[in-house]
Amino acid sequence: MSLYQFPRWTDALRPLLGLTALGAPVYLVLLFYYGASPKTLAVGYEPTQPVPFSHAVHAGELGIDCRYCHNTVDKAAHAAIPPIATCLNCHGDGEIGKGRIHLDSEALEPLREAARGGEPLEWVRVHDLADYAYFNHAAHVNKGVSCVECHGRVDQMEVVRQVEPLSMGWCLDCHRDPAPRLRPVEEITNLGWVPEGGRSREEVGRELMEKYNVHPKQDCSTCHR
Amino acid sequence: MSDSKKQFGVLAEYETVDEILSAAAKVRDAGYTKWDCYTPMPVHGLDDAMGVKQTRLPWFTLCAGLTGASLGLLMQWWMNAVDYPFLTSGKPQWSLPANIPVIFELTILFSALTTFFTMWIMNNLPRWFSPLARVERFARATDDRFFIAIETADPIFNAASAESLLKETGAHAIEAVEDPDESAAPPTWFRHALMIAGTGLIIPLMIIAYARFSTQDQPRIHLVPDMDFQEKYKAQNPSPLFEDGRAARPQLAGTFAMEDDHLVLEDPGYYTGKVDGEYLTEIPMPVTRELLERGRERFMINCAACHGYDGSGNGTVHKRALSLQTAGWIPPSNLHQAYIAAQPKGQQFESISDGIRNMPGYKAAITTEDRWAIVAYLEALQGIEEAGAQQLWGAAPAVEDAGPVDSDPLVAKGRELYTSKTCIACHSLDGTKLVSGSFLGLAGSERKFTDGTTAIADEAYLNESITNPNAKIVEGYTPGLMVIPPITDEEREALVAFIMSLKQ
Amino acid sequence: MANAEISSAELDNIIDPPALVQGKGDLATITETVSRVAEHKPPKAWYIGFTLALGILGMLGLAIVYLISTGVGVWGNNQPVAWGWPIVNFVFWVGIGHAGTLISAVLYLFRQGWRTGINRFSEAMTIFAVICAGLFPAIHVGRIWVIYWVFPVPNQMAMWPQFRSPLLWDVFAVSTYFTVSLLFWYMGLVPDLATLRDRSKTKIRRLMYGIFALGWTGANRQWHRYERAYLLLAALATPLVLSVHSVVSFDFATSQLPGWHTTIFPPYFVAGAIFSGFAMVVTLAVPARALFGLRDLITLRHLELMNKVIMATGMLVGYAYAMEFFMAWYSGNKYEGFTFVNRAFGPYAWAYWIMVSCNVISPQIFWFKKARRSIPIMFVVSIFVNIGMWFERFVITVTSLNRDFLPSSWNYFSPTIIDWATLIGSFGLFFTLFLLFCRYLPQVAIAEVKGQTPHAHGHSAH
Repeated sequence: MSLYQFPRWTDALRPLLGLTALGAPVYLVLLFYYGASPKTLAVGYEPTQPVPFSHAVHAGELGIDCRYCHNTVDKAAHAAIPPIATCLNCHGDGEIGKGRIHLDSEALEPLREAARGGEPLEWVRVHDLADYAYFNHAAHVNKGVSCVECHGRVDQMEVVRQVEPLSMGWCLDCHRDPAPRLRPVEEITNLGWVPEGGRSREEVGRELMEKYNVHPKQDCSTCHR
Repeated sequence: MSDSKKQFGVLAEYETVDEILSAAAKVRDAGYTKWDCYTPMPVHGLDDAMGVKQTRLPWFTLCAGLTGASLGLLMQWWMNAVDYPFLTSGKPQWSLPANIPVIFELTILFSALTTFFTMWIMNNLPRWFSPLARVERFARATDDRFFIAIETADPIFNAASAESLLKETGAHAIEAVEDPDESAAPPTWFRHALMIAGTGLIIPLMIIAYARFSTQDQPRIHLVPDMDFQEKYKAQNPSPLFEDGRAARPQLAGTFAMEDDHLVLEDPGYYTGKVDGEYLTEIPMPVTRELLERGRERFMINCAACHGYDGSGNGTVHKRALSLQTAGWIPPSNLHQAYIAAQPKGQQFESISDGIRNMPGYKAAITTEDRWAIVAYLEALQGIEEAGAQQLWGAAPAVEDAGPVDSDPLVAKGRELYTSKTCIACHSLDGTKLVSGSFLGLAGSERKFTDGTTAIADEAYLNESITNPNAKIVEGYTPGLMVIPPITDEEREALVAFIMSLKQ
Repeated sequence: MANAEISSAELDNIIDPPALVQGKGDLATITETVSRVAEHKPPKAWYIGFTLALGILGMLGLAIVYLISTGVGVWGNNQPVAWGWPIVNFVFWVGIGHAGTLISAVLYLFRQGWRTGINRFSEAMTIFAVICAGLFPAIHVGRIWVIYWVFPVPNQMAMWPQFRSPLLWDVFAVSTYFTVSLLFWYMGLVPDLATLRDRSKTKIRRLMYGIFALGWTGANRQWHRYERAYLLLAALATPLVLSVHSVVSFDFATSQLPGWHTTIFPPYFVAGAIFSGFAMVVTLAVPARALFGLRDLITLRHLELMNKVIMATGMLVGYAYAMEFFMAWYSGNKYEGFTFVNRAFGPYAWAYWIMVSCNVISPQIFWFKKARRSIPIMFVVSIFVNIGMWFERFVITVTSLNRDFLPSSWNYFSPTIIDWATLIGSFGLFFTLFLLFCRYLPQVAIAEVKGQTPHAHGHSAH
């Protein structure tokens, strides 16, 4: 017969069809779940800054407190990128700032140039929340949530990198169970802190929740206001 | 039919429902099991005639329905009452009546999907290939004819007896159905297409894996930007209003903020540490434990990097500057020095606020209250020194004693100024070289300058050096280091007299 | 078991005069009559209609692109009429989508043999109407790319839908209804697709019909499970069809707004849905049977029976209108009272009286057998009912909202050109799909109609 007939090998399509019917939804869900996750799209952002500032040297090796530069972090919602004046405390040339460390450094030239009234330094923001999400640094820092919980071991980073997804679900993880993420406020900028006497962070956190009256909210308006 | 070809079965054609009903009963009675009737529509009574057993399909439907109902209930309870409970319109977090519609819908959905798919699976469909479809007359099975096919796979199949049985049933036509001699393996193009598709499916997964385990110079990919970026000002965002994009405008030269002006006038002592040119001797607030704690915290944040955690002037930044052999680096003061401890509180406050020598002012970075807190803590820190904690930190740099009492009032004034104008920070009186040379024996000595000339350190030289420290640079010293505090001519004379008195 | 079947078959003959298939009515003729449509070039009217529908669909596309790129502010919705045409159109289309499953499932369970002539047709209509309906909630969110948030999908926000909201019940009800209707429709199509496959003369037709026919051969062991599954689906779809518009009515009824907050809403909405659905089937069947030569399969008797249903449900709806007024007065709630006076005599009185005349008065003509069997009259009445039922949803939505508790916020709702383009465009979508269906798929359930002919019943078994 000249008419088209389905050949025998189409039987081989049957298991394939079953596999596709079961596998395709799984594949698509996985693709979307992992592909669109902030862990894929946001984590690992490591922009080149106008000046190669090393947190590993300043915060790590020299042990300068985070708040020396980010001095609004415990007072305001916004953790300020320091003004150039702060850099010049150490890296001036006698005229625009008192410190003289690395006076000959080429890399610091943009900094001094900006201080002399040239182009402002445009620092690249690494951790950028969506504009509809409200986050208050002071509220967290003053209740025992250390920088490290969101920003990672910045004191070990040569170049700052986003290590956490900063997604809503990730925020909620902590708002639902803050205890293991709390530490005494005195140790807030001690990124490598571990509880003394081999106690668990959970245990210490529970006490601190009592002490600091920590009751994180999960209402929409907590962050979307 | 030749023997070389494989047979699939025997096909018989009937014209009416009555014919196929009676024929089916006969085939059933003959004991065949691998056979079937093919009809254009469902024929009532044919199941009985064929001896088809009732299907178990409804049980699947029932199970699926129960699964759907319980899943619906569990899902709503877990999602709204356990995993993310939140209050809306005062409704209870979990209430059965509100959950019934969704439970109902899921019951139906699960049952329907299961019924549908189970039916096809039980029917062994889809199966596009069929030897029967190759028989021309069989096309009418979906139109107006009825067929019975007995397959060779039947254990009691025998071509001759099957054909004679079907003939007995009154079949209008009987035909042996060939099993087409075709390969069951998919053709090469199909296998290649499958391989390409399979590879294509892996690529996105690899891209995701790479994105997960690498760092990027590019910011987050906003799949759905929506309101992630709003046209509103946020702290430290650039402003299109100004050419240089700075939203926070730098203060104009020669101006100061209104707020400060107002406050300074209201309470100059608190804001500047000075009233009518006189330093405050006391901290203008009650010194409480809280204030001291606060002062300690702020000291650790803002001062410790240079002055050291113990205030001995041995901070990490200082060490770093030394290791980098920074030209012109003036070491941070040891805050335990007596002359600093003896300073009026207002002066210490002023030093923190406006800076001194190499130290920058911290007025902008530390609040007024916190600066006073640091002053308060400083006293406590210095107190620790007295309490013998020096052993703890090792020997501090030599502390000047009060020195001899001067008979000449001008020299006495100079000695006082030596401390209050902070010459003491760099120039010792005992011959030790601090940042700069000691004043002991300076007067009358021969100075060798970097331009090769020499001079005797007389009064004129000293006067010039205080007024303009960079006019002549002594060999081995860095220009631009010396910072002159505001000083009157009288005070300069007193200082020169004092230095002259240290002639050896 | 056998006895029961015999008696029910006899009962069928008593209730149903054997005129459901006219003309020669043998199996081959039925196959030929239905298949011919899909196998030959359609009449010129089809091309004109399809071009027109495609054009209107294009307009809908543009309207949606504009809407999505600009925001839902392009609609006439305002304060206090925050629910405007989108929900009116949604409820209108969902309502129309009720006839199909009702005919195929409920009438199947009641063994109404006459359903076979029109069920495929109305099931297709159901599916296309539900697609049109689903469009409105989907686009009304503005950010259509996150519409998946209405489903309980794990996401990076750790958020779940709020199951205490009737709007979410609606999501489940409408999507379940669409899924089940689609399964039901497709399952019915499979044997007929096999018929078309076996009749096809070209490779491409054979391949396409063949793939979707899944290799159906009409084996009785398969028919056995198929019929059982069909019965189960019918049994599942029956409560479903009643639930869908009940749940849609909850969108209104669970709110505390006078004019919406009434317990009569679920049955009232379901009656209205059946009413409008049947009207739409008549509107479509009348031209289709003439155009595609299906008069022998979709007979006057089918249409007459549908007209009876239209009249009955029309009166149910009329009863609900009256009852709402009665309750507004009887409850003694002055806000409720005001809402209904406002409805009938306020700024939207024109809409209210269009609704009443179309829905309650016009179907009364079907008391006369002559009118029930008159093609022009039933066509006109069915159009009236479609218009009237759209206005019913408009009246319920807009008149309850436009005069708020605060007289200072009273506002008049006027649709924008985009509102119009989306409403008219949705008809373009509907007719495009429907005309494609008419052109390529069997419009009448071939196998099921065959099952209703005397040829399908053995005599020796009786």
